[in-house]
Amino acid sequence: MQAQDIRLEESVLVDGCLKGDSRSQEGLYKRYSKLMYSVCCRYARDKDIAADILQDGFIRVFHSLESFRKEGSLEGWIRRIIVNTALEYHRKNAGITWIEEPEDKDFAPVVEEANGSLEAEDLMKLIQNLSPGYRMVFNLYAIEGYNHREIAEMLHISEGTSKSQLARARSLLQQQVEILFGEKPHAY
Amino acid sequence: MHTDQNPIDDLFRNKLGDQETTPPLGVWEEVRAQVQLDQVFHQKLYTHEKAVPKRVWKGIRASLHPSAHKIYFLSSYFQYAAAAVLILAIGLWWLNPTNEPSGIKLANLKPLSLAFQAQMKSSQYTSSEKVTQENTGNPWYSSRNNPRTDVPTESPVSYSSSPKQFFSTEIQRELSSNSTENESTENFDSASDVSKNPTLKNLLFDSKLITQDSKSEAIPSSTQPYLSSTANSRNNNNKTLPWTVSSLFSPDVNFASARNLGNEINNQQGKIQYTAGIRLGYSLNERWTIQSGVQYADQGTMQIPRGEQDNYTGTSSFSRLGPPMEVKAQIIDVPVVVRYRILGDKLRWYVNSGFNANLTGGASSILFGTGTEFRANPKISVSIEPTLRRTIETMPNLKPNTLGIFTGINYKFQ
Repeated sequence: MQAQDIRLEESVLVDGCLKGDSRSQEGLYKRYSKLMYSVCCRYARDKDIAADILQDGFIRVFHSLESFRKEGSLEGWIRRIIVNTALEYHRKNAGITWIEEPEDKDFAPVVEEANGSLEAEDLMKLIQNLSPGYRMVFNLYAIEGYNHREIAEMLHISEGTSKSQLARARSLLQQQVEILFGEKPHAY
Repeated sequence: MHTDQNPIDDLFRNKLGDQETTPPLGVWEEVRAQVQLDQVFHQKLYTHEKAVPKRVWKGIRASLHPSAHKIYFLSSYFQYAAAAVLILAIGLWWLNPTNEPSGIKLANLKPLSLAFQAQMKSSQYTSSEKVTQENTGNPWYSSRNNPRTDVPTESPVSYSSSPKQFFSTEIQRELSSNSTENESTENFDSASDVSKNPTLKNLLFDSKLITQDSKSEAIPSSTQPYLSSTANSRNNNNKTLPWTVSSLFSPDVNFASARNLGNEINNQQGKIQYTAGIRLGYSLNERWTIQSGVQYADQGTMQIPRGEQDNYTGTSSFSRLGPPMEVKAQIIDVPVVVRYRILGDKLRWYVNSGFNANLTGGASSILFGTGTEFRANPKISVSIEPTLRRTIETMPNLKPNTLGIFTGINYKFQ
């Protein structure tokens, strides 16, 4: 399907949702729910919380559709709402601990051997095992593509804190990757 | 850019400004590893999709359309209910006492009229002179203890079979013994055949109940049910009319409650709503009955407060966001109920229990009740049964616990 067709289909769905058509709402949900649930799982420590975040996030999506300008990507717009809902959830309910520890320097650069065989679910579990602060910053920087200034604004922290959190998260992830797959470094 | 000049600055700038220094080993590997780590996670997870729990969409839909009551006939609850009904139907078919054993083709017998059957059932069975049987009121018992004297010993009667098998055997025997004398027994398929065959007539029917004039004789409507029902339990009307269809109506006192954001919402508590439905029942024996059907319950409208609450920790299907939401508890259930008659015949007392499988994507419930049934005649009865329904899971966070008084009109049939 070409980008123009996708845009047209999205536009039809959005128009239907704005009219309150339940089929359009369900269509929009089905189109993006799996992708967004994966996003939620990266920010939440378990599936139940991820489902709560997804539910609240999509309700916000439907309530905010009027503000969506059809110039940009609907997926990106929904993703931002879902991510913001996840961050808000953690701020208000779980809380985020900003652990300031010196970065561990003695990790081995095993990731360079990555060849794509490491499964997404494995990486998901590694991220979910991180403390909330590491998890948020790593997700925002490494996966979503935000920079430290944007992350600092979103999480109400300093850029330095964002950088240190990212460095520590990377270190821990790399160590865990090495522990899990160290015996066969070419496996991922 | 600042403009102040300082000789120290110039010195260091000139010496170090364009100075190149070889970085230590490992720095590049570290940088590359971190970049690649990010790339791996990004590539693997940015477009990764995961199956979503069904409750998420239910919650979103409930929030967007709080007054919608869409019935998902293919929901899991409906599938469970359908499976239960199927199992029940197979069980009833298996237990159906009208399944005749092999032997004489009783299906070929033209039926007795219903009135004739009723007369037969109400009468005391007495054998003719050709059937040696003491008039004890229990032909099965009598026959077992008083085997016929006119039956050849090389062809003993199998008294270990069921009563209806016994009758079948008796009829077959009589037909066989008369086949040489009377050719008409080969085509034993009409009422006239019955009347033409004196042995069979005497065996089947009391001479008081059948006229000798076959032309004016009422056409037998169903000899087979007569044989089975009379032989099994003469006074057991449940066996005779095992099926019951009931229409039910119940005013309900609502003890509904809901929780959201840690608050208990019970703004429907104590209000009167109603339940109406229809059930089909089958009597397994004179005490046990299984019922199933469909019922509709209107349990009012609740206000569910929502908002930005810091103490929200639940996994509610309701969103915690948005304005207060109205939820109309209008429920369609498939009840499966087991009833046990404790005592009484015309005025019966029974207890029942079962569950309501919800079809509207909501909560199923279990029920307990007791009641009385007054039988106006063998087919019509009225009943009244106080019943407590208790929700066994939340829909969404809604617990429509009710105490209802089911009043019903029941019709029994074959």
